[in-house]
Amino acid sequence: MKKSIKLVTCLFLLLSLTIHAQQNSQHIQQCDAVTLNRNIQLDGSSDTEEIKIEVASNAKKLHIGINSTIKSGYLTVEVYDPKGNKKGNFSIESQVKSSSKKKELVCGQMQKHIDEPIKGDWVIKLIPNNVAGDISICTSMM
Amino acid sequence: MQINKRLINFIRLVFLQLIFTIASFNCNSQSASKNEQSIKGKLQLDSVWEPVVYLSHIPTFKDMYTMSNEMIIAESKIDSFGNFHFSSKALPINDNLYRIHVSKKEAPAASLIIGGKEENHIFFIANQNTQIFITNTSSDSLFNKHSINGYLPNYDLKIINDIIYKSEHAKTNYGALKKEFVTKTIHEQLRHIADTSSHPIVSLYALNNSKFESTFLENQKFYENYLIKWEHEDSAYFKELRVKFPKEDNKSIFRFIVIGIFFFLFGFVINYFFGVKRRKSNNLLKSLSIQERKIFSLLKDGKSNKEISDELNIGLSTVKSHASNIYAKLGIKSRKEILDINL
Repeated sequence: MKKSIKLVTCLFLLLSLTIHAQQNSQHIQQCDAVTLNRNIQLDGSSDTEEIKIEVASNAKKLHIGINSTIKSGYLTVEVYDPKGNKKGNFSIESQVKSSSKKKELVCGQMQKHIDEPIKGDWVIKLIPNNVAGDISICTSMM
Repeated sequence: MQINKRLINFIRLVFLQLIFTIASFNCNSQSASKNEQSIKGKLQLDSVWEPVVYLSHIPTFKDMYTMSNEMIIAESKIDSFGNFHFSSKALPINDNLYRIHVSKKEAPAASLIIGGKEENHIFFIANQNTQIFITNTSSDSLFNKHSINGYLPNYDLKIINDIIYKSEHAKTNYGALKKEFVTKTIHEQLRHIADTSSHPIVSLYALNNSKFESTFLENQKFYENYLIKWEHEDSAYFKELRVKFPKEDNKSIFRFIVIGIFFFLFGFVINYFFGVKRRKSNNLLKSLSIQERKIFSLLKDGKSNKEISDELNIGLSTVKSHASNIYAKLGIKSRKEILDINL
């Protein structure tokens, strides 16, 4: 009887330790993610902006999230890898003039998950043309 | 009793007539709805999405990921069963590319979400006479698992999309070299579809996704033949393509020829001008005597009167006299001008 109690206790301890270790490793993995958030407000801007994301050689995953809402103008967003290949793009246009009292919102979002990303500078190119609106960029690497 | 029987018969007759009328009305409406060309569908949406489907016309491949209110040409409310409906009567006769999308409840109608589970749009080919039925299989993934039935070119479009999706997502464990090889193979596969497809938009869609700009020099003959194959296609999709191909600039060749001819003529004129001058000098030289020509050549070598008199064994005064004769005959005033005469 005693033996079986001991065995059950040992098994319980072993199991709880294993679960604890797994949870810890998950927590460590989550902490390994490097995140960067940027919010850009455009007020009738036409200046091209390039945002660089430095990807290290040991990065396993790269996530790029771009969320943009404009009230006026034409906005193009492009994502390039370090070799200069376009990996995604979108454009949004609101034909209401920024001076107008009318409002017309147009929204564009892009989510990119890249496994084994190429090492180097990834570039998010923002090409606005008289744009009034907001752009938020969220990147994370693991 | 007889009156009752008649009344019952009459009611029966009226009832049968009514049933027959309802049945024929149903048949008529069913056949009418069958004949009506439309873009219909049934979507499973979860509560974050506004139950409205928007239809946009995509005028060029460049605009596939462009969103504006001007691109939206129709909208249809989704009923409680998930059904929506657009009439295709207002669409152009020729095939064009279209997009349907849904927007989130808080977001504007003109919202485009690219990538991820919440990708909110799909593309399809349609025309005025097409009947298309669009469905998705799960409310979680919206358009990630969908089907477009009713018009054959959309099956090919889906095959191309599946190839592109595989190329983007099925190479996590590959090394750099293998990745490059797989990408190259997929691009070749897409070019093969572009080459063999008989539908212009499907063919062009495949070509556009094969990164043809980067392989133009490698496969120049293929692209030349491709342009010849579709030379009668004058849709905006093909016009966009033709601009992308580097074509032989006849104007610049003509410009080079004109510049060449100009320089040739310029050279000819210059040569003629100096030739005349040279001939003139030669003619003048012919007017000199033998002794004067000897002295002229020595003067041209830059020799002094004393050196010339020593070399020719003649007196210094004779040299001076010949020199002044030479000056007079050639119309010059100094030795320096003798040096400038070209023979």
